[in-house]
Amino acid sequence: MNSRRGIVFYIVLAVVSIMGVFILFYHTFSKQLAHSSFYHVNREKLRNYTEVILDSAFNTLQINTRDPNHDLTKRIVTQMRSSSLSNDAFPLEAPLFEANKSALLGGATLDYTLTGRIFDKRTASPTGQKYYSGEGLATFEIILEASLKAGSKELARCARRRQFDIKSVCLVSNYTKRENSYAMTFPLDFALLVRNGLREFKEGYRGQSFNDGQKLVIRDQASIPAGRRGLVYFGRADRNNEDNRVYLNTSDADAQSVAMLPSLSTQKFEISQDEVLKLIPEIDKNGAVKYQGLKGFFNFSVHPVAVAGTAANAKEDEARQVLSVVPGNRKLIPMPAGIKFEGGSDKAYLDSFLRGAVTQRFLYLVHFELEADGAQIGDGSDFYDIPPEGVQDLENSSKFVCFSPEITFYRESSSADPQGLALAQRLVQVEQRTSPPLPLTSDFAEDYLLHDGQAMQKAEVTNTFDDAPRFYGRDSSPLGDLNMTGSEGFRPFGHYALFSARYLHAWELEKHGVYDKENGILNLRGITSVELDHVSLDPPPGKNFITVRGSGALLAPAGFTINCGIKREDPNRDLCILFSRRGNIRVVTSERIEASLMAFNDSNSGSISPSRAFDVLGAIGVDQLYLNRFPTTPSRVEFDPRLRTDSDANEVFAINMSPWIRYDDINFAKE
Amino acid sequence: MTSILPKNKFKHGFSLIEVLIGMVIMSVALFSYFLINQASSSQSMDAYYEFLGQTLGNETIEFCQGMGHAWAVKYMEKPDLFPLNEWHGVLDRSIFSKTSYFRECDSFERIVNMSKVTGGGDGILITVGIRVKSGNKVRAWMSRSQLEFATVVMEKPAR
Repeated sequence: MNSRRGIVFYIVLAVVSIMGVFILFYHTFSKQLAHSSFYHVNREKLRNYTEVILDSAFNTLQINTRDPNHDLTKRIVTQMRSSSLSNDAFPLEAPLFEANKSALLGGATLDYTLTGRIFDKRTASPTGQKYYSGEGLATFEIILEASLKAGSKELARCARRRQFDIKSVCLVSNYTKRENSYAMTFPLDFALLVRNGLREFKEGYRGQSFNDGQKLVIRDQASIPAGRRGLVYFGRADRNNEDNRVYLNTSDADAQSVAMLPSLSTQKFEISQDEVLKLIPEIDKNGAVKYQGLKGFFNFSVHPVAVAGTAANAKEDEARQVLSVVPGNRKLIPMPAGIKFEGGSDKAYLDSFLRGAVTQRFLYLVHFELEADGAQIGDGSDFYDIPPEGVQDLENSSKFVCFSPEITFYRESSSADPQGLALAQRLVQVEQRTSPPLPLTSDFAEDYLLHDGQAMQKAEVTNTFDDAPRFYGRDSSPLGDLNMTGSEGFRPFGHYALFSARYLHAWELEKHGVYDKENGILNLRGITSVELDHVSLDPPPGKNFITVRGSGALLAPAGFTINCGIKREDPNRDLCILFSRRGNIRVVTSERIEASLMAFNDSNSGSISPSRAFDVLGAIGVDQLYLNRFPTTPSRVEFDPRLRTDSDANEVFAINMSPWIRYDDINFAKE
Repeated sequence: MTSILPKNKFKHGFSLIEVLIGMVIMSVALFSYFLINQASSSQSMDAYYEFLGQTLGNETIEFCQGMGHAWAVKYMEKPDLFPLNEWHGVLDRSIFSKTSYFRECDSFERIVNMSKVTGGGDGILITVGIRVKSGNKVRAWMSRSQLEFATVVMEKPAR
């Protein structure tokens, strides 16, 4: 057998070694656990802090993008406009975190970089119709890299990304960029757009609907640069002929209107004795009597077609009475124009905003006078001076107001005045023979454009103001007819995917924070559509107006009732558009409405229905005006120059960020 | 036949010196192991309770964030779930059902402060302190006397 001496050492060493290994394992494990716990605590702290930074950044975005002029809004719009799907990130701020940094960090330091960018844009509708440049749906990504430190020691470091859905809607678009394309708010170019202007003009007795007393005044736009003035267009009144133009009556109660009357090249036109005798054969008793030295004069003058009081003289009155006869033997005495354009009456000014064929209507008066003073009468061989009584008799019996045989008065009452009709027919023959520089018959002339400085001419005036505006469907194809209905017809706010909210009930406006009824605040951001109800805007307690905060459009297909004024909190920031697609906009207040009112529908009957004279600062767009429903006190429209722009810098966009997080991740760096 | 007993009697087995030296080595080793073990246990327990404390603090932070600004504003006026600005046992005024907590959570107490802050929007600054109750044995394990947590619950901006 072997000796056992010294074996104890081996046993002890073995036991000590085995125990040592186990103890070492346990110690290492404990140490790792302590480290893990330490890092976990720091990571959680960092996660909390970055959460605050991200929330603060999002809030800042939400608050600042309410202002279309804010740098953040501009940056987002620029990235929306770019063709690149992935854009460079730009710096963001987290002011609420910065303001409370020391309280949050409790002695630690946090270094971070915070940026944001647009990516993954969708710039066409689900049906492939391209949105206006800068409009679309996209994802906004907030990128954060942060490092938590204690002194110089880095405790934890992470990178975070958080993404939100974003909608960008153009409320005021650069009109030079969409000369051949569609933008949702195209009617804002117009201080007044009457889509069915020509049809409304022709309804009932032609022209009466627009000339039944002054009802609507478009305020002076002279202070606005020419390129930003609100246009005026009466739909399809595009050519200066009787079927395609709209006329507005001149009135003696309106100095501006009187100033526009064309000037005459001559006020008198002489015809020979032969022509006089052919015109008035009764004078020579069918050749039985001969004259020498008889002269005939046509006297021309222009007058406002509508007179507030009595006519200046009998001839003017007679002309107005005769020419006022309309079919059915009715008389339609001209009233002042329903629409007045304040400001200058020169062509350059009116050219800057008036589109299509808008003409003025005035009384062109021609009356004939015989001059027998110095004339002689005889039997053909002997002549002697006509005695004064004879001269007077002759002159008195031979003066008359000249009318065309084509006027309604003769067509309706030819049997009542056969002599007058015969005279008118002879007058036409004289006119044909003498080729006068001016027409020889009185008329309500209506082919002269609505500006001063025109010289009356015989030839019909055919030129119009500027070309008629062009309109486009949602797919940017030109509309052949302004009255085209349906989804591919005349359709403002046609890109539904860009709406912030749809299918709301009116009461849900409060729920969604759009309309604070109690405080009278309309929070607008993008396009909100109330499909299911009529919307009433009521005055809050103690105030007679609602305050608009933000930029956007409120759509209520069933219509609006405006019971109080609407005031923008910040005129440079806020913009309000009220649009109805089926109903009308009822205005039950005379307080100032700082909003654009639009009512267009597929029945071509959208309108504003005021029970009091309204005062709008914005734009008006309707299918028909129905001026006969307007109160007698004229309503006023002052165009807001922010609504029309020829530069990208002045475009107005509404950015709508979804509060819901679309994607969120966090990556911790290895310690 | 030759007897072998008397001669081999002292040649086999352990000598006293051998055993004594073995015992000394063993005791030195065991003492060292004991010290190491104690340190390891202390680290483990510290990590465990710090983790627990951190979980309790984060729970309050997450809860307040989840409830939102409007809730926090109202809560400042009428705190009912847990008191503000005073230390209280975590399980004495637990946010959720007591059964959803480890039993050791009862060793901790908490203080919650809420204050309104502004700057780029409005918010409520919430700070939470977590510590072991005085006289509790857990205090022996935790290296840090108190854990601090803070967040800002922000007001959702109006549209």
